[in-house]
Amino acid sequence: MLEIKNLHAEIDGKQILNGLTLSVPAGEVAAIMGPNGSGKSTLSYIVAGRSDYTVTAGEVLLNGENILELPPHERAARGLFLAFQYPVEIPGVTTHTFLRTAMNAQRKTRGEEELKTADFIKIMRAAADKLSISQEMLRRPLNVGFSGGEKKRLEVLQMTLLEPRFGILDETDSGLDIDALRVVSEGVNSLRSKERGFLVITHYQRLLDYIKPDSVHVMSQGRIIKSGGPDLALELEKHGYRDIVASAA
Amino acid sequence: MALRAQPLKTPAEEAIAASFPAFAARQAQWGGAEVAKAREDGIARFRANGLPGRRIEEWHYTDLRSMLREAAAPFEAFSDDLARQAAGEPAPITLDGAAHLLFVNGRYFAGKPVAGLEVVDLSTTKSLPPAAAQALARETAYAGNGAVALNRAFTNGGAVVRVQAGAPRVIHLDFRDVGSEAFSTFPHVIVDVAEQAQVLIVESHRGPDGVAYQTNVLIELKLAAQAQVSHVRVNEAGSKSVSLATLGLDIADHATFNLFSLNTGAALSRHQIFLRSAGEQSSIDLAGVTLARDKQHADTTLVVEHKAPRCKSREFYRYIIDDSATGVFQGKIVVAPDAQKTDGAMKSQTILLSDEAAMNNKPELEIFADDVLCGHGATCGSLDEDQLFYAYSRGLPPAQAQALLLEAFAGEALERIADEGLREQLREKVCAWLAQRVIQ
Repeated sequence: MLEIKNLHAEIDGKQILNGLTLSVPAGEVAAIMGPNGSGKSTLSYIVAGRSDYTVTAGEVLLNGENILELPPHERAARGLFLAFQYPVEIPGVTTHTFLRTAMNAQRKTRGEEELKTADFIKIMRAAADKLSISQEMLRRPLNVGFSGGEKKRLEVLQMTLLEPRFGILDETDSGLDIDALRVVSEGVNSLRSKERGFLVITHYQRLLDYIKPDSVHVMSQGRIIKSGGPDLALELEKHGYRDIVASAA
Repeated sequence: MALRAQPLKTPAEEAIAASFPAFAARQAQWGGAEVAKAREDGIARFRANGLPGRRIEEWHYTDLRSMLREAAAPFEAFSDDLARQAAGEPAPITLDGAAHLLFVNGRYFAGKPVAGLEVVDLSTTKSLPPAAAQALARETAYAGNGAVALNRAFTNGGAVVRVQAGAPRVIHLDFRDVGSEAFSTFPHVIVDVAEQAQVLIVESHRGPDGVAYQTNVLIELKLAAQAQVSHVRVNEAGSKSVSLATLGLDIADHATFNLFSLNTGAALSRHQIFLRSAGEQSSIDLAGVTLARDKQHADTTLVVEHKAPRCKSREFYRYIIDDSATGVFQGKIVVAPDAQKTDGAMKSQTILLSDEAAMNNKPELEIFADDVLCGHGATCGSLDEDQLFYAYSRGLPPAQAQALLLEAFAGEALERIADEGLREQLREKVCAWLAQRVIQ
């Protein structure tokens, strides 16, 4: 499970998170919604360990362990996964090579044996097929020239292969048409389990029709201002953020 | 009356000039009239100009005059033992079925004769065959270059090679330097490639680490019409060496020339390429990767002259500079008035890995024709933070993430090597270099 307690963070002296507290038990999906500029993506970067931000107070516990002191690759090896809003292009590295390198790097950090090439290819092919990712795409450089939908499917493929304990999806629905949204959502849903939790960051209720959350949280000015059940998302879609933000101020 | 102050000669310049008469006298029994004439011409230019320094624009970033503190004596003590010693060490590149031409400390040591390949050893005491003599007497636009003049004055060995159509597929010019005290070598190799001949020329340089030796290599390639030449070069000169290398190219119509150069060696290296495309519809691709660390200084300077219409040239160079090393890329594309429809594109890209690392880029276009497509671009930066974080977030530790990105950066240039086996050998060299990196 992921527990964020009283998290404060800033960048270049500008306060972005102001005492954010949120708990997502294992097996649950929590959705964070909120207006532009409320700090949603920043939250995902800070939890994953991006060094541009300075955490000034609070803690982030992954399965009971405070991960804020760990470098990002060790957070990943302990089971944290961030699906990027804008997956990064890496020219010169084939998708296939990147996937194998990532899987083996995490295994090595955890003190496990590296995967044999034949085993890796078998696992990768099976997972790629489910997400309609072609072998040809896996031979291309990572994310280079991929469409928005292809990039997001590839994020889900990585999450599938890396088998995290906790996944953060940062606006995974942005840039997707309805068909791609369905494929990506089905990919995420197939990973839901009793042991695994998710934090889904989104602007729109639409994604939550496909990935049904257990709880919905509204974020504004760097903290959670309202929490509720799935109905809260419908309410937001109908009335917008303004009233909730105003009443929290 | 204006007086132009003649700079004082440096100790290295004095020593070089002083050593010439005795050297030339001792070496006069070989090479015939052509080598003798080249020596006189070379030393005359050296006496007039000295070592090239920052006052000369093309040497502005590699000031040989101040960087070359001492002149090492030209190597003369050749023996078969020396050749055996050199050949006992592994070559930087292994190639199956290549015609192997071994040069030790500048001199050619003949191996087995190869069908389709005519090799004339310059150090023969007999008179040179007419074709070889003519090749040596060719006039070039770069004869006045400081490094070339020195090579011609002090040539201490070399060969003239003729590649006929139907010659062996691969020729390996294997330059080894052997010794534990400072010395200098000046090989001169000419390769004439006949019409329609196809050949892969591999050029490798390796020498001892920790020895302040100096090499000054002149290689001249002449491609006849429709010849197709790929040239792959690996420079692994020793850690304290000075490695000067000049590649002169004369390319006829419908010929194809591809060069890839991997440069990791020497304390001070300069690879200069002077290319003249004199016939229509030739195709030229020059590429390279330079990896430099510690206090290495690595310079690639090239001049591509398009003299005839409808030719195409590409230049694609990548540098990874670490520690307090310095990289230099100077590229000039010259398009003559008659060379209409020239298609030229030049790119140089650098990743600097430390605050003390430096890169000097100087791309130039000189275009005298009005219907051409020419462009250049140069970039210089550090590793991309977004790419790094993406890799970390997937579980790659910093050293591995950086190595992956750097290997990819160099790899995009390596892709230009057509021969897969050779490409993999060079890729392994890049990986080995990256594996030695110490990350702060």
